[in-house]
Amino acid sequence: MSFKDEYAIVGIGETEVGHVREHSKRELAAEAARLAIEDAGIPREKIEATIRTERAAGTGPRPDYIDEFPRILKLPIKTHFKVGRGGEMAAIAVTAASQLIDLGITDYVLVSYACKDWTRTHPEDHRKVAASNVPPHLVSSGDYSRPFGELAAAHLHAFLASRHMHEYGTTSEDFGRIAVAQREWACRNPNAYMYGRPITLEDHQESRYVVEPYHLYDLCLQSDGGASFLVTSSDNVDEARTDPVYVKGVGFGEQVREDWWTKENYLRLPVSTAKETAFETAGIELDDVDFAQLYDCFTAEVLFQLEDYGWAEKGAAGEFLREEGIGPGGAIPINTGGGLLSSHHFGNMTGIVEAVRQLRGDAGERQVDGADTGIVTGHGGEMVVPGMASTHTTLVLGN
Amino acid sequence: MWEKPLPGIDQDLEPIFRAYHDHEYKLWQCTDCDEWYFWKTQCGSHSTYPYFAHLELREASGTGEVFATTTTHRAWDPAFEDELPYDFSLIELEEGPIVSTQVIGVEPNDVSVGLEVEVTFKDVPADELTEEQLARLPFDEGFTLPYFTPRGEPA
Repeated sequence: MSFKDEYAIVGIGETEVGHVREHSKRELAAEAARLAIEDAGIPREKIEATIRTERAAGTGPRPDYIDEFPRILKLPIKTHFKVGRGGEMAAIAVTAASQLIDLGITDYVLVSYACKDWTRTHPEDHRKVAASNVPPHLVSSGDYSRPFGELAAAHLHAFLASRHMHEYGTTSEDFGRIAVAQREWACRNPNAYMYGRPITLEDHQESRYVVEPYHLYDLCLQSDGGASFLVTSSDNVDEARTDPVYVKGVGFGEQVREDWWTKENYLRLPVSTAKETAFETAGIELDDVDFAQLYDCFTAEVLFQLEDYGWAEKGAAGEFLREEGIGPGGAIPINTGGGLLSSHHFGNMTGIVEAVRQLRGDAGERQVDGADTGIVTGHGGEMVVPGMASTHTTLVLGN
Repeated sequence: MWEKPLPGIDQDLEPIFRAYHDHEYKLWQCTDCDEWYFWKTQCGSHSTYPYFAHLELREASGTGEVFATTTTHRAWDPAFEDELPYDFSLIELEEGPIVSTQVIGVEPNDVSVGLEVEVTFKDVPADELTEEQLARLPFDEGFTLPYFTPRGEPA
């Protein structure tokens, strides 16, 4: 069964990002979806299946199918569901979409996402939005560590940074170089939240500690906004007015296949099987990758992936960042829109939209020359003390 | 009164928290191969047993060394405001499993990877808990938390 080049993304939508006080989560998901349909220029009646990506599809807010984007946009859908496991939801959605198309259920699958995380995390604004936007606070079953102060995603993720620093001599400046490079990209992306606000390595070092070893600039943004993409079979790409971006391969990795709390899993992400399947399906090697949108909830996630994908040897990403670089003009362009650190945090929906722009040649001042093949990675899973039962996805997109 | 979050003691964690209440530091051990586990789980080498019947909760040393460490400078919960900055660390226990905890009795920035530590229990009795908090716990008598402290030093 072939997969490579059988499906394509023919439309993308992205709302304004960052601090969007005036629109609800439902409006944002619907607006992003509307923009993706408009981008593709295909009639709404062709969209007979929709998927909402959600960072925590199994928990979070109560189901809101009654007013989901397909109803708002009057799409003649046969099915609509939510997918997600942490930030790797877009790759799951692409996989599900390919099956819906294959089964003849629909020719087009519209995937949309929205969040109000800026609003949720800023109490003064929190009061100003409808309570229905804000999920009730949930304490996960088996989370024994909260009374010790394990209160944020930064806590368990900072263990990875601590461990890498101990094992390989990685420094806070090494993490800082990731933050600075991505901010440089963001300053070339007018839609990025941090557009026009460059930082230096010194700024990174002087930014306040949040969860040491992490400074403020090691943490991603919490964003409001929505993003969407439209998938179809390669047979239909001529119906759209955009240049198609083909799905070349997809792959998944899981730490849950082993004891996720074992020592090695504090020094790597479950990249190996995800990369292997995706690259094999796409028929590519690492050298074929022109740019990468690597999941960057924290700076260490990028540093780990530089090693886990093979741009640097294990333990040598610090050196790679010092000598080769990932910013404009660097050895490999990483998170060219600014990423979750400096543009907006929509999980891997952020990366997929940016990758499509790069592959269409629509990335303006930040356009990577000759961008023909790119990867979008996803990272997520459960934060379960004493670590993270993490999951990883690799999506290869290309022309 | 106890203002911090409660531990999420689910059915799998209940026996371990019962032991903490008696100030005993226990872990699960495979009766076939002696491998130790914090989570009540399948033994990696004996995953065919129905209902993990080969695991037994047994007394462990309650000692280990710091495996990874963080210092928190922001109070996501106001109950932590007074103790900023505070430590949150991973301990690699003598028996092998890794657990998360707070290392106390030492400045957070003096907690480093490799520091030898031992358990110190803190009781949160029922009279420090509201009825609503008690309703969310499997025990009527309150709960006990296993903090860690540098070995050989009073907490």
